[in-house]
Parts: sequence; structure tokens; C-alpha cells
Amino acid sequence: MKCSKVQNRLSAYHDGELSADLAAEVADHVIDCASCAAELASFGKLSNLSRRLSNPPIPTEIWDEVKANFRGTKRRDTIFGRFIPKSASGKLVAIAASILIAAGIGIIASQSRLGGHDHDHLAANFSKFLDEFNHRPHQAQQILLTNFEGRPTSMQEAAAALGYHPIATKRLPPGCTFDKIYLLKMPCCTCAEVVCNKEDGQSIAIFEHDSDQPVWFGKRPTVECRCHDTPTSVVQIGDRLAFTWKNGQRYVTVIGADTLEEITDFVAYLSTTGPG
Amino acid sequence: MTSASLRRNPGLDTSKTMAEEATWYEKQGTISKAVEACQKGDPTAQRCLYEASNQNVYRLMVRMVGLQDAADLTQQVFLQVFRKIEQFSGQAHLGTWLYRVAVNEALQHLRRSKRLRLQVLEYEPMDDSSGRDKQIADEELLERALHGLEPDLRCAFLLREVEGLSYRQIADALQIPEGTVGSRLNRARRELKQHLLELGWEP
Ligand SMILES: [Zn+2]
Repeated sequence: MKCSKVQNRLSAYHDGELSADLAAEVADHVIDCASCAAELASFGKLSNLSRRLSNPPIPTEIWDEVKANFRGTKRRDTIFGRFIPKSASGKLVAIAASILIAAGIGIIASQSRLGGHDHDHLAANFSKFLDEFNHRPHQAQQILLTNFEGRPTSMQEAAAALGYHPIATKRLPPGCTFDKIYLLKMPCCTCAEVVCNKEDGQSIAIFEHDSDQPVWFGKRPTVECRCHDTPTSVVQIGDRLAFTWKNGQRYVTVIGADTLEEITDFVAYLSTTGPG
Repeated sequence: MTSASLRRNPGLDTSKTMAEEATWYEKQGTISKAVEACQKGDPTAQRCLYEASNQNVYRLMVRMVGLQDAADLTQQVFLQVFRKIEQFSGQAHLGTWLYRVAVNEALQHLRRSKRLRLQVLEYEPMDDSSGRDKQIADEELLERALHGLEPDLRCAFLLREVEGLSYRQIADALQIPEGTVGSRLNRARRELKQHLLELGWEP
């Protein structure tokens, strides 16, 4: 047998996976061939070395997580805690962990990147809006209207002013009904805000803008995840959630979700690739 | 050399080297009984199956995806296994089924991480305590060199050398033809040796 053939069969020979005939041919060859013999010897040394690897100690949380998740009662904040910024808590941690459990999605903790004077101003005002939104949505709306020359408008007027139809005027997830639409002059661009109501009476605000600026969550802890394969940033606002994702050429930001299911529904329905 | 002196950390009393432990082959009886009991709905069977195989799955995960994500992915593997166990039949593939789920989970995770540009593959030393002798240093070198291998080659090597699977079982776990296992291992071993030499290994 030639060197090349022996080389091709060297692992199989070393692992005892060759037929007796072939193994005998390889054995004959390595007696006389120094280079094949050296290669075979190095395989042996790798095997010896591998047998000395130690087993990493198994975290006991694994079984607890398996048990809890198999029953459907998710204990969410144990071994997943390291993914979440230290300042994050409550619902955001739960969301991050349940996203991970639901779809095995990679999550990276990060914070939004804001800079420049306009954006600081924007962040400060938007932050006030977010703080108020939770309990006093009408007052929250006034903050936006006052600071960003906002005004109520109609779907047609908004489309004419923006040059596109905001996605939330075309379709909403089931259970959401259109309420109002506003135009706002943000530092980046003119932006549409669609307010809709959920069946439980809570409002949800949907912003859409076409500048390449992620969003206005300021320094709030953010969880980056993928919903239906779309990178989505989620932050906690009081006891509710806000999230944003890049939808085709534009960014869509939704304020006021309560659960991960709602977030994934919104991303599915409002994405340019979504249903409808 | 005694087995105790091979341990990288005297604190890890439960850790055993491969040589001390029942092989996957030897475990098959236990695992197949546990799978049958799981299928019959025995409440303690999941725990038995987990106990019989968690070390195998976890150590494969640690070396495939890194220490940080290994626990999460191991959990995913067992959840999948318990959810699908009803559909599972056929004794022949029993031993490799768990590995197949684990390998798929690891490779999927690595593809996702690549897309997210997460650096999960940075080598994470398990222990940095002093007092290494030459052999312990060699094991560390092997851990590092393994991380330099392509995931496909790395899992073939680990299934053979750490888990002790036959070529037939490796082919089942990786879902590749049995005839290609040998050539994959040839490549894995040659590249691994190269990485080790570059890291200063003196065979
Ligand atoms: Zn030769």
C-alpha cells in the first residue's frame, strides 16, 4: 500500500475501524515507512492526551431549569442573570430569559447609543414621555406634542407629509384598534406616532421614522434579542415594555407591551415581511 | 502517575478523567432503560436519563460553545429530548440520539452567534490556580487547540476521543456517511496537532 492510501486510512487504523485485511496492510507499511509511523504515533499521543481531559463540574441549576421549563413554569432569573445588565430587573429579566427559553435566541445586553446635543434633548424629553406613559398616557402625549411641534393628523395627511404610509396605519395585531395619529418633528426627521388601544383598554404608541438612528431609550437597560429573526431591542418602562426594530428602511418603536407574546406579535404583524 | 494528580483543581472532587469513567458504550443499558421508562411516563425516569447522560452532554457543550453558554444549551438539549421522547423509537440509534440533539444544538448556536457576531469562542480557562505540572499544562494546551478547530472537526474529534463513540455512532450523531468519519478525524487530528505544536506542545 502506498503512503497516500495509508494516510487516508490512518485514523481508521488507529481507531480499530479497518477490516482485518486492510489493517494488516497498514501495519506492514508503517514498519518500513518512518513518516507514516510518525503520524500514527502522533495520533496515539493525541488520544492519550485526550483521555486526561477532566470533566467540567456541572452547574446544578441545569436540572432545576429543565424541570421548571418542562412543566411550563419558567423560573427565569437564575443561570440567565449574567446576560442582563445589573440595573435591569423584573419584567425585563423575565423577558430576556423567556426569549432565550422560547427560541434559544442569543441575547446581548447593551445600551442605546446616543450622542450630540439634539439627541440629548430628545432623550431627555422622550424619557419624560416614557416615565409618564405608564400611568398617565394623556399627559405623556402632551409632553411630546409640546416639545416636538406635534399635532393630530389624519392617515392621508400623514402619508402626504411623510412620503410613505406608516405601517401601523396599514395593519395592527389582532385585538388592537386604531385610535389616533400624530405627526412629530423630531430632530432626526418628521415622525408618525400611531396610538392604538388594546382590548383591556391600555394604550400602545407606535412610532415610525426613517432616519438611521436606533432609538430614544436613553440609558435604560436594553435587551437585544431576535424576534422572528429580526433583531429587536427591548427596554422596561415602569411595569410595561417598549421595543424597537429596523423595519425595512425605517425604524419602528412600540411603547406599552406587557408580554413577550405581544412583542413577537407586533414584530410579526408590523414587519415588512409579516402577514398582510 | 495517579489519577488524583491529573486533576486540574483539587477542589473539583467530583471531576473524573475520561479513563476513570464508564464509557458511553457501558452506559447504554442504563440509558436505554431510562428512555423506556420516560416513554411510559415514569416520573423519576427523566432524572435517571439526565443523571446518566448530563456529563456527556455538558462537557461536549463546554468544548463546542464555551463555558458561558454550555449550561443554557445543555438545558435546551434535555428539554428537546424530553419533549420528543415519545416519538423516539429504535434501539439502534439510542446511544447517538442524545448526541445528535446536542451536536445540532451546538452547531445551530454557533451559526447564530456568528450571525450576531458574538465572540463566544474565546477560550475560557476553567481554572487558573497555580501548581500545574507539565501534564496539566498539556491538557490546557489541548483545550486551547480544540477551540482553534472548525466546529465540524471539533465535534468529530470529541465524539471519538472524549465520548468514545464508534465510527457508526459518530456518523449517526453527525448525520454524515460512515465512510467520511475517518477522513474527518484525519483532518481533525492533523490540524489539532498543528495547533498544539504552535502552542508549544512537546509530544
Ligand atoms: Zn508511508
